[in-house]
Amino acid sequence: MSISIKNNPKYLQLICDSKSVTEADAKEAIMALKDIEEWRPLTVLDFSTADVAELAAFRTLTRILGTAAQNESTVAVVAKKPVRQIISENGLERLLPCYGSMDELVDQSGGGDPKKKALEFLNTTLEAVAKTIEVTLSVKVKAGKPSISTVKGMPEVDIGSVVGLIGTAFSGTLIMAYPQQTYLKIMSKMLGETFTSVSPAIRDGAAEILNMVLGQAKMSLNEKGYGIKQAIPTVVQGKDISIFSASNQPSVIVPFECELGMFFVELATTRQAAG
Amino acid sequence: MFAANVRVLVVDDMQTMRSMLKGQLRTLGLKEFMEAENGEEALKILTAQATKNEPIQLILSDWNMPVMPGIELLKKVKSNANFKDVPFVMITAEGEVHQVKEAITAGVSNYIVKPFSADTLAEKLANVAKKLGGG
Repeated sequence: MSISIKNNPKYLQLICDSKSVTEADAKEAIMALKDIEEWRPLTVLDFSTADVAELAAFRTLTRILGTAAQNESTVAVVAKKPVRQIISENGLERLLPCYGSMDELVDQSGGGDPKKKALEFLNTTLEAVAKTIEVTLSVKVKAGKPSISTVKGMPEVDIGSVVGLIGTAFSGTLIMAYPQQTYLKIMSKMLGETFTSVSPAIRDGAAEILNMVLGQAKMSLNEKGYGIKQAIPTVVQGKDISIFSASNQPSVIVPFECELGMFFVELATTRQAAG
Repeated sequence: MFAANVRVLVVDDMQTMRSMLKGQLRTLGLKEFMEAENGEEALKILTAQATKNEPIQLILSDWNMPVMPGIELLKKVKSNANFKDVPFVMITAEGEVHQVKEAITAGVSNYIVKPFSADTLAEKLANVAKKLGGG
């Protein structure tokens, strides 16, 4: 097998030119990565010329995950279907996400159409909102029609939480905000006792919910190479809470409805110029 | 499951999360709780309780906390001869593979990714208790 490395601003591509991937090849690939001085947010193990592979090769390759993580890089594999099947059938796909081609990988990891990426970013975040509320409170939530906010903020909200999103493909700001009645019902259900005012005992609940949303979204997005870092949300209280973007980017507001009432999610994103 | 009198230390910087966890633990029959807002405070409580001969017997900790994060607390607990056998469950929004691996390497007893249901907490704690031989 011959190994060559392509260094792109967004990813490091280790091209392993061979018809079959063996454990010895995997060890050779690991040795090649040891010499890397400047890591990228994404490390691609490109086995696209191989038709077959030994399972042991990919078990060995999981050893690079720790080094990659230390260098803030996620790892992905590009390979033909039979090789991808070996990875997925043996439960390694979560550790080594697979793609059929570099084009497919780049398209799904921050290098594709910016509008499509922004939509993916938004949808993943909204899915994380729904999952967090549904799992934590055992209630179904329904997202309403999104709207664009340029001047006016979210109507009739009293408390919320805000967090900065810092990533390699996108950065932005995320707010979850609630009318007081919704928030009190959510906290009452979450803690199993009735609250009639937003006391200090429940104020940080808004931040905890957003923390869980961010964690969920981060897991999904980082598997696709977004490189989102964890940040600590802050609680905000007051009428007409809204994002005031320094870049004057409009934000998207999505209303959510559940049996405990309505709440709102506002997301403003800015694409990173250097990826 | 753990016996009702097991002394649990709940470590999280968010008061709401500590309250929610305690509520869920009460429904599982547990009654004795202590709370800390970060790893450093947790270590002080662990030491004080050991001195009083009323040791902490189960630790549930968040990862992201100011002063001392949960992963550092885990490493300090597991490297301390007095506390290394105390079961340590990480309950966190940090669910990426490299983080789970780091916690496992450091000796975590179980790992729960937020958001989680009361059923998940019960199941994970039952597994920890089972490994200890019934708690």
